[in-house]
Amino acid sequence: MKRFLLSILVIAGVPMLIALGLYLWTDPFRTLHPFDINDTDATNREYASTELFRRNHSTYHYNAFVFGSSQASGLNTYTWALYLPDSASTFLFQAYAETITGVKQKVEWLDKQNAHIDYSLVLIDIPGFFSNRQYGYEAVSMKHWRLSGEPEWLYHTHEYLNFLQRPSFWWTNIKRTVNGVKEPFDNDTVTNDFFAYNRYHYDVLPPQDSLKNCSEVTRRTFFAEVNNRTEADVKMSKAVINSRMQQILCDIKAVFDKQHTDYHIIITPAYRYVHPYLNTADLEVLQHIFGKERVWDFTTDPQLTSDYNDFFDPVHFGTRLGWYMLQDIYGSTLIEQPKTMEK
Amino acid sequence: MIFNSLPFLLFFTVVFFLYWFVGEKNVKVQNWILLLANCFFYGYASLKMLPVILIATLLFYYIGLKIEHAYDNPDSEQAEKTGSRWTTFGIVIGVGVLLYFKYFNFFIESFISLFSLFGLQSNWHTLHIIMPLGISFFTFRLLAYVLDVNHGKQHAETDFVRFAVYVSFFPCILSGPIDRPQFIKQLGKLRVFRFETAQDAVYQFLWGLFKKVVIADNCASYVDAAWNNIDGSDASTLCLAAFLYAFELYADFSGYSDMAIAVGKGLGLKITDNFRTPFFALNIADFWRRWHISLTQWMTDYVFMPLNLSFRKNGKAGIIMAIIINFLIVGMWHGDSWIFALYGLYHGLLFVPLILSGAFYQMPKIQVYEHLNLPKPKDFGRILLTFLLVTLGFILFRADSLTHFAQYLTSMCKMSLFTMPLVRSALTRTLLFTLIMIVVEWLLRDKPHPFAVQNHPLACRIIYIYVLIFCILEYAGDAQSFIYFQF
Repeated sequence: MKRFLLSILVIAGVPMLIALGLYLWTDPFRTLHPFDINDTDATNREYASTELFRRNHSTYHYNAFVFGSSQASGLNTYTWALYLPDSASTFLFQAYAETITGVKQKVEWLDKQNAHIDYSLVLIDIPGFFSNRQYGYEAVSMKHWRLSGEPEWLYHTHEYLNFLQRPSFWWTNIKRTVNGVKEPFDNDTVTNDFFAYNRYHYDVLPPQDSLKNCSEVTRRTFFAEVNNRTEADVKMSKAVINSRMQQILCDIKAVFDKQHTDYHIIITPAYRYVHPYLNTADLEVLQHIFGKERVWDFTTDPQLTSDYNDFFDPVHFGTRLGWYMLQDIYGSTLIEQPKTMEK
Repeated sequence: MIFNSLPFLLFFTVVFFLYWFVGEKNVKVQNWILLLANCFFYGYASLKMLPVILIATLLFYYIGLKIEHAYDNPDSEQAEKTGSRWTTFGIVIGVGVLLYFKYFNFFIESFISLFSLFGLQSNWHTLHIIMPLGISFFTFRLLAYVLDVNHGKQHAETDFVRFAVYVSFFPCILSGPIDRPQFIKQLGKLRVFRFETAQDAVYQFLWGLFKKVVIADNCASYVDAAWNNIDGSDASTLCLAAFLYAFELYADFSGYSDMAIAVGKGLGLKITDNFRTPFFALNIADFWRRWHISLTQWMTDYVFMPLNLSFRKNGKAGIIMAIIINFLIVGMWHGDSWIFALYGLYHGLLFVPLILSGAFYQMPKIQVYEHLNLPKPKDFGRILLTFLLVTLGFILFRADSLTHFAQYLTSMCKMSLFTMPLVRSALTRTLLFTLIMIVVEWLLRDKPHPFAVQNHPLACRIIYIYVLIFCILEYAGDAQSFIYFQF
């Protein structure tokens, strides 16, 4: 038995130690060394946005926040700022695959930091948004320990385990550390390498490369199929907001109410493109909690869902749609429509 | 709790240490640990259904004792009658449980459809029945037990813990292999830890995991995409997907079996083999001797042999009847759908030429060129033909209905068969890994299991381990449930 356990220990221990050494040396997720916005390619976006906020808030006094996932790339905070008073200072507080729990953690954390949340947009994009998962375990979607309350060592342990499970990423990081060659953490995941980030607002700049991941034919076929779906499909979808999630939504509202925030809950057009659709009962729950005037359901607006050219892929839309949504929300046509989409 | 998950790793680590350290010197403690582990494992998967398996185990334990008791005085006239009555009772209960949980709604729906064909309406309704996990596997274990006790092949087990461990042994409860009552004998002896066995278990587990997550899960992406878009796919794509499905099914199920057997080995228990390189079979009979062996063997002993005996006066026609009934049951065992019955019938019919030609009972051996370690052309052709027939059967197995099957088959028989199949991401590596699996299994085909490498040099074995782990971590497909969990 001893011999067997020793063999297992050696066989498993050697790569674990090598990975640990590499993790500490190369800092693959850029969380061990001081934060640098120009060097966040493998960092999860929640970590980056939180750290950027911490670094810049004292200078820019952010008071207008967009909460959402990568879909928030379609809502340019520059454009949004045009609809807000001059005193508004916008910040995109986004996370990979954002959830209601993530939004709750963020608004509560901001509140604790004595930050003003005067204006806010909350983007509901994918069904996974309705989740009461408090922590994330994938490197790109882990919740920042400052927001989740998870011990910092546990956060780094999860990161290390992520690193351990991707041996090819070890090599990538050695190359990066030695030669400065950058490669994304996971080829299947849109990582920060595909985006460029505005270093003040964390706005996502045109994700040119992500277009290459989804051909025109794919998008056209997909959207043709999607647009054939009927409202009956929507009704048939399963309701996902349970009582615990309702409580989380109420907690978010409580902070907004306390801060007298002018906020809007936006169900983005892309929600429609992912199973299951937003159930009518879920929409009613949102309207009941936040008020009908604050909940904007863009999933059924044909103007927003008819042209596949407005989408980079089935779930990411461009700023032209973002502009349309802002027009609807703020009821103003004063702002000029963006001339071109990012393509 | 599936084998390739963190909860299972934690669970097994705890069981392993308790089993070998706390139960090191006491067989009863070892059995109790196993029983508790079984209950936890099953309860974790389906707590609501835990009472079903517990009650069934208690009942069959009692029935077994009653049968044995009836034969205490074998000279008595009553002995056989009483024994047979208890056996029949056991069979009725076992089959009844299976029919109720697995087939009740299917029969109701079939009757409703049948009535509607004649323009009749029925007031019958289906019930909301939750099927207990692994029901097809544990009921077969229970049935084998009463039949073996009745035939005197097995003594009724007096120790309830041992019997319960046999019925619910956690590595096999969800997807087999279906162990026979002889397994109980092992539970009567103290298991002693052996380094070589544990080492072999590690190799087999890793190989099973590799087959599941690297081959089966990657094949599944391609196969599912093709099946979800039959009309929009080229015939060549559908054809490739059909072949990949054969490998997916094999890698998925045999991967699970390898892991289950390895877990058993880790606990010092031998679980019956379930696969023996089935894609190198020379004919369909040979295939079934290598594919899902524990089920085939069960069916042969308890269904085919008695039927064959009953029909023996009909000569070859009798064997054909027995084999077709046998395979209809094999097909239906897989699920509550007529498509599975057709799948069984298809395989049963494939046996007809073998029975007529007298090759049915032959155990063919692959003729190889010794210096090249490659099959001779004739045998290679037979292997290929068997594989094609089996793959065709798997299309039936994968289809939801006969119409679905026909749609797939007709879409596969078009001119686009001669075009390049659609190359999706990961296809190249899927094909490469599948090829590696075939080559490894060919080279080690005569070994006790497809990755029995304990005689290789230490350095090579260490490299194998790291290569497998690397591939599992780097090239795993999107996680899919084990296909045979549904059965």
